[in-house]
Amino acid sequence: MNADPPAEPNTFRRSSRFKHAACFLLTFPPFAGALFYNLAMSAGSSFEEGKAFALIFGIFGAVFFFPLLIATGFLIRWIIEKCCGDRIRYRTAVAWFAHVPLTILMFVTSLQPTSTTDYYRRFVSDDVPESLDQFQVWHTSGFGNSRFIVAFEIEPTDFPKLLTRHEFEEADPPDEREPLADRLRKRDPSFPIKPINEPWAHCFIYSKSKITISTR
Amino acid sequence: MGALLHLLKIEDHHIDAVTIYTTADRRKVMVQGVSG
Repeated sequence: MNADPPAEPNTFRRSSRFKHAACFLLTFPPFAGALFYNLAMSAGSSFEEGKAFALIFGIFGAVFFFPLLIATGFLIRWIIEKCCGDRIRYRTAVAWFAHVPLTILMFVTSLQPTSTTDYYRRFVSDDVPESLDQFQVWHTSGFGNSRFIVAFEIEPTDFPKLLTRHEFEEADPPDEREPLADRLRKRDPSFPIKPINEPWAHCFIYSKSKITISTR
Repeated sequence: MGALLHLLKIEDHHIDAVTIYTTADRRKVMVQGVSG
């Protein structure tokens, strides 16, 4: 009986390295892409608004989070093999591809548009008026801060619902500083918050630090 | 990750300053805010 000669140790190592390299090339780019896209879409009201944030935090996430996921994959493989009492088939791929469902979930969730009521709850108040209409939103995240603007129409009787989340103080006379939307519209005429054809007559201010608000 | 957290209903209402502008009839509203 002629048994196959045992593989040379160096050949085995080269083969193993090739498998790991191939798995890395197949899993890392989709993960980094999904992470980048997810961050960009969640950090801004458009991909353009969020891409700078995504670039920095995406690199950070890819460098630190990906090895953690792969380590988790190897841990899962180790647990499976302990339970089975034997080596499993495609064991290298199992370790490297264990996180793929998370990558898919990350990408799919970033494709889902955020609803008007979700934006309203996030930025304004939990009590969404039924009369909410003509809703427009813009938001962006930077390094250490984020800004948002929402504009909409409601029935005047629903206005008190806007003031429930924070302790607002009415600025009397209204804040004479130019609203952020107007300043941004001067820089970019295609700014998504459209101007209205009447003046702002009332202004309510909340500031956590009780210091003059600066959104400049 | 933000979208993933949103899907999991983990939301952050941490906002440091808000200004609400409204018209005389309180029908049209604009809310601007900053956090961080």
